[in-house]
Amino acid sequence: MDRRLQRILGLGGLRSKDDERFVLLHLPASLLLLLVILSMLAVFTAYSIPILRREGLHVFTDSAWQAVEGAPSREWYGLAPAIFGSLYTSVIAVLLAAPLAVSLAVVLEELTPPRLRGALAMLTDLMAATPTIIYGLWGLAYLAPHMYPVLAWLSRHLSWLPFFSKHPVSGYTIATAGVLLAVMSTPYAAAVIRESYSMIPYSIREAAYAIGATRFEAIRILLGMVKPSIVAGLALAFARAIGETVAVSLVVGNGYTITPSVTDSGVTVSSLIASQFGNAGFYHYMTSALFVGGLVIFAIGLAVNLAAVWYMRKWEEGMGIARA
Amino acid sequence: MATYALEVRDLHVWLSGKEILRGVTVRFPEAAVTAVMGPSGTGKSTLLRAINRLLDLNPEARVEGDVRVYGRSVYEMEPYEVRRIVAMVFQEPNPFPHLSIYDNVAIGPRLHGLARTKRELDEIVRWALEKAMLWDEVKDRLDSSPMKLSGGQRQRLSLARALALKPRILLLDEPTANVDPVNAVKIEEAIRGLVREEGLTAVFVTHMPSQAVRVSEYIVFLYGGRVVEQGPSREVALNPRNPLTEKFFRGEL
Ligand SMILES: Nc1ncnc2c1ncn2[C@@H]1O[C@H](COP(=O)(O)OP(=O)(O)OP(=O)(O)O)[C@@H](O)[C@H]1O
Ligand SMILES: [Mg+2]
Repeated sequence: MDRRLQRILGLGGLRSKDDERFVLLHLPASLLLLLVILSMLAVFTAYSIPILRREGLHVFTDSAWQAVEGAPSREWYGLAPAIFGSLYTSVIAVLLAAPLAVSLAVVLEELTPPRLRGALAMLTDLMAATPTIIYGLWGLAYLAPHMYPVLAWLSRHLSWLPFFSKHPVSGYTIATAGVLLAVMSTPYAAAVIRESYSMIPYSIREAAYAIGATRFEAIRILLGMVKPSIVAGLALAFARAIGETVAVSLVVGNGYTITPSVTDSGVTVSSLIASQFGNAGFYHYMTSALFVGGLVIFAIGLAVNLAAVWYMRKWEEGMGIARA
Repeated sequence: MATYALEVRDLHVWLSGKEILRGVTVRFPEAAVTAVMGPSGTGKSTLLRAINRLLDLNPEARVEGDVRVYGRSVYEMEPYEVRRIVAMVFQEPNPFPHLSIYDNVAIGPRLHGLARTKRELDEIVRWALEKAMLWDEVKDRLDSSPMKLSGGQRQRLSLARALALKPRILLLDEPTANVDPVNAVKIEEAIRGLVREEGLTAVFVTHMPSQAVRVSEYIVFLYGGRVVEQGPSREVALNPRNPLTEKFFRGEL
């Protein structure tokens, strides 16, 4: 390979023809990935321009969704309820998934006899691998109807809290979507936490018991040690929640409003795209608006992940762990 | 005659079905250092872990016989209670990497409610770090991570963490095996000081005859899971009665 090309690609110090062949073999895959990402950015930007030209920042802040066939001048799309709904359901999901995932990891690593552990771990892996439409149908047919009495009770007794201010008309609510997303993302977060929990050196585990910690206290000490992986796991759960489409659209109720009441129906960006894209072609600006919604989700997901990475870096620096 | 802080009676330990300790009976005099010696794999670490019940963590371990701390059987006490009175320092420095230097020392007293106020806790932390001969080196960075300390400092931090429990007995499993000679001397001095000034009883596992003579009043020599010789350090080191002990001290075992 040409030396200069080697340097550009950051591949100085290849030892042999074999090394070179290895690199040449794997280079196309990475280049392809790069191309895909670039084209995504290009397409999203191109499609977003019309609505941004027409509405400016209002597309993010307005709450109206007016689709008028054959009259582009009367079309108006505000994504605020969907963006709000995406964030709200995902935050609820993460808040619920956090204790669930930590307990699942602890139960698997500490409290399950080794003989059962494999089977239980497989079950959670299966949960993670289950297609989301399955969760969606379960949510539609089982979870939502069963949530209804619970939510009705909450809104009756705790209606002074803004979260439960609205009496639910059905089980298809923001709360139901949050719970469903929590169930879906818990196995992911738990897997991340488990992995690093199981890597805690035996000498540290012994140290916890040797200072006279009870089992419960020792587990708490060791959980402190895997805090970054808890954050990473929850970031992953958040990413999964905010990107989830079909399962959410089946249970969230698709009410296009901004409300603090989780007992009310709501909408998310992903569910909006899924439900509207099919007929977006009949309108002049709707496709563009949906693409902007996609960009917003992408940006939020990216921001959460960057924040998680930043947190872990800081944590590792604090511990004096040198990064490779 | 000396009183005994710790007594091991006819102790048998099986690990994964293999008999590692085969009837160990030994008494550890109070306010003295007893060195436990013997070739690699002979069961020294297993003995220490049987004493403070750390073997409970190992589902493959089975124990018979008795261990008594000031007359009380550890097998009739709660494990956490045993481990507060009988603290341990391991071969590898093992401070908690996610806790600050201060919190590493404070964690034990916090668990056991040894301090009622922040002031009392600060005092225990300072006392333990001083006794571990680490205070001067870390007093200005108690909030920083133990991972920024050298290996020898980390081991002294592990010692301070153990001392903060205000134990009566200290188990030391080759505490200087992984530290440089300067730190090794500091750790030895710290142990001697604790025995002299605080009346602690120490069980000090070591491979090195010279260290055993420097640091201990008594030597217990283990071989093949049995005690083959015990007595005052000088006697055992200079006039070993058992040929195995003699061989070991000549460095041939
Ligand atoms: N989980 C286990 N299952 C079976 N055998 C074990 C287990 N753990 C340790 N052993 C064996 O028990 C024996 C005693 O180990 P121990 O660590 O107590 O020896 P030691 O005297 O401390 O040795 P060293 O000087 O190398 O530290 C060794 O032969 C070791 O191989
Ligand atoms: Mg050992």
